[in-house]
Amino acid sequence: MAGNGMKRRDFLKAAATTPMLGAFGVALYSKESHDKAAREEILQIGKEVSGTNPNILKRNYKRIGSANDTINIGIVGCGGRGKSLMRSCGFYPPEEGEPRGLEGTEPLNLKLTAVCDLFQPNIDWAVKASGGTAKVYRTYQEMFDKSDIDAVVIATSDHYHAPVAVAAARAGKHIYVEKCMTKTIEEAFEVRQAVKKAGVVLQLGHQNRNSNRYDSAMEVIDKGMLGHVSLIQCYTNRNSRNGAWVYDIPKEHGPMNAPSGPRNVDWEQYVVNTIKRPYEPNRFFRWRCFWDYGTGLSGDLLTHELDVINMVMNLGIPATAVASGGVYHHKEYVTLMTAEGEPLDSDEPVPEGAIPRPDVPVLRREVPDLLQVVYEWPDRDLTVVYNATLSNNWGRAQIYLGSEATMDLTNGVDVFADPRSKRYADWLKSGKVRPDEPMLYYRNVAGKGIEAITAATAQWTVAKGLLYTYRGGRMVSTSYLHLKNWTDHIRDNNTDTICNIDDGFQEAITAHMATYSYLKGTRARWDAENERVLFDGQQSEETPKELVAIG
Amino acid sequence: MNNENTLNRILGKFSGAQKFILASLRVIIGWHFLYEGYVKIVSEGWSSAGYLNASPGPFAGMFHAMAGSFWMVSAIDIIMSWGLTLIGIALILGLFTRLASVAAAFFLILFYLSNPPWIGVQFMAGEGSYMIVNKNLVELAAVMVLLVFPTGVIWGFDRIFVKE
Repeated sequence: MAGNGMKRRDFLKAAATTPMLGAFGVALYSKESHDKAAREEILQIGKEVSGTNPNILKRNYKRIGSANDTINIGIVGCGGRGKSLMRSCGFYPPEEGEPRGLEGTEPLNLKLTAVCDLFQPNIDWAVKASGGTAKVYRTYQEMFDKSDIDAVVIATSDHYHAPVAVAAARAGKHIYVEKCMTKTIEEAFEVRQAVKKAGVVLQLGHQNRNSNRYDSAMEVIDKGMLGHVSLIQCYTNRNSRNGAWVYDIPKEHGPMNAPSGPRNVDWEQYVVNTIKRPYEPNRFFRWRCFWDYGTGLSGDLLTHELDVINMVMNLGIPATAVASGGVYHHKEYVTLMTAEGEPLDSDEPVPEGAIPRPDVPVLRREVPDLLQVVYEWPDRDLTVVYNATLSNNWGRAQIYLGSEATMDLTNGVDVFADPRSKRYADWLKSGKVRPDEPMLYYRNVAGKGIEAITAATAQWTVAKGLLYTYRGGRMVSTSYLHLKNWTDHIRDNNTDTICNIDDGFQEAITAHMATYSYLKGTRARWDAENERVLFDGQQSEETPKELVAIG
Repeated sequence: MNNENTLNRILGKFSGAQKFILASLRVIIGWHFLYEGYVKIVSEGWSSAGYLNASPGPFAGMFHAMAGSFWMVSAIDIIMSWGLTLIGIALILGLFTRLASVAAAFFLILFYLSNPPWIGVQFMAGEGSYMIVNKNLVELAAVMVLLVFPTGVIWGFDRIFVKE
């Protein structure tokens, strides 16, 4: 029979739907060209690439040197934040398991050889986390004199940042120091001078600079897509006792000279460089609530916002700062325990029969739980407004208000054309751009996006969040990236870290202008020429009495 | 040599229109899978972690646990992106149609369970509000049609494997 004919007909039938693959390819090509053209058209608008923001280059630092010698590090202050940084360095007791955001990352090749803390359980934790390599030093001075460390991580309470950093610099140790860099304005000068003189590599602990959403935000600003940015709003909102720094006080607290009971707190050393009060557990474990040891909302949370705004906009220190606020909500807190004497978590519901702990006095915080700060940069015709409350958790974010467009960093990066924009007028008119929909958006890959079969949208993605970001589709701890940036610079002998000493100086002065303004009840002015802070209506540049350390 | 009778035995006597519509359904679903898979392969930084983490409902714990492991997420990402792509190509070509349909059903069941439109279950952000039946279930039903009406042997490379 017509065998060949049948075969051919069979083949044609077998391949009948194959051309649809070709059709798919054609459709894909035209869709991708269309999307690319649309994206490029939008990006072209801000043609004026300034390239003047040096922070853009700093973000993409790649280590040059091939040397990968082990760096010996020490930790001064291994409480909550210190432990978290040690985990990001790869040091944690084995039973804790690998922390989130560290899986699959390149090891930093560090050795934890020295630890100094004022609370014995923290010391024990660090020694265990080091795998037994860490030696314990009672004071940081002794650590710098006697240990073999090349670099130090400082995660003490704020009142120790500057003294430890200055001593470290003088001893030639590289420094990773937590924010706020210092407690006072004078200390910011001292740290800068010591670090620059010693030529050591300093990284200030603003790890969220590494969140990749800022790559996109900085590109938008650099291309001038927003027009003239006249106002930036930023916020912090929290609504828990823990968020208001009312941390739990462990059962095993007590000063070293206690007549009985646990003797785990080196209180005498804690108050060496501040007012020498008798032992008070609130002041040790909840130090952020007190001016003797902390920097309040401005040094603690405002800096997170102002530091990245400084990076994105390359602003430097503001010309003026005005602050107001107070203790509005968390006025008093009685620390409770069960009838059996077990401490209770400050944020858990109070069980029946709970009674006040006899070992913890009533907490009366000094630092405000509500703060509003207005900063001005007249040379940029820009105001930044920050406000925070610790008794409401409504999520807000940084919003950059420009004459042509608005940039919202709530869910990633969203850029909306301003309805009255001149630059985007034609597009708004034609409907190519709608004022209520972002004309450009960058999304967090792991946000609550729909990634399954029901919606295939190839988005240009960025991460949201302060603790984790994304590198090559992988969730990575921003603290790890920040530490890596520091160790890369140490190995390259380069002091220009992503949050270097100049960024740190600006961070500290900016924060303290707000704190001083709040405490003195007047406007703070930065005299850039003479590098000093002045206060309206006051002759003196004195440190507010609340912050004065009586050494 | 293939035998028209064997095909008729498998498929019964369908009209040309019926065969055409069944084959079209296969190609359309294949197209959808291929695009979903392709997009995931080429999107730099795409990860299933976000979707898994956002999973609501009774199986949320299982999907969240998957999202919690870096190695698990890496494996799921590869299985998802390449799985969807290969299923898509197979359905368009009509090659290994049954296997592709079973695999497609498997994925769709997981998608359905990860975000079940059941009464009282919070729906995922970005998705609409459905009542038991949603797009995943409709597509699953369509894939089941492909499974019981193997159109690859009419218009598709499965035809080659039909023995007398």
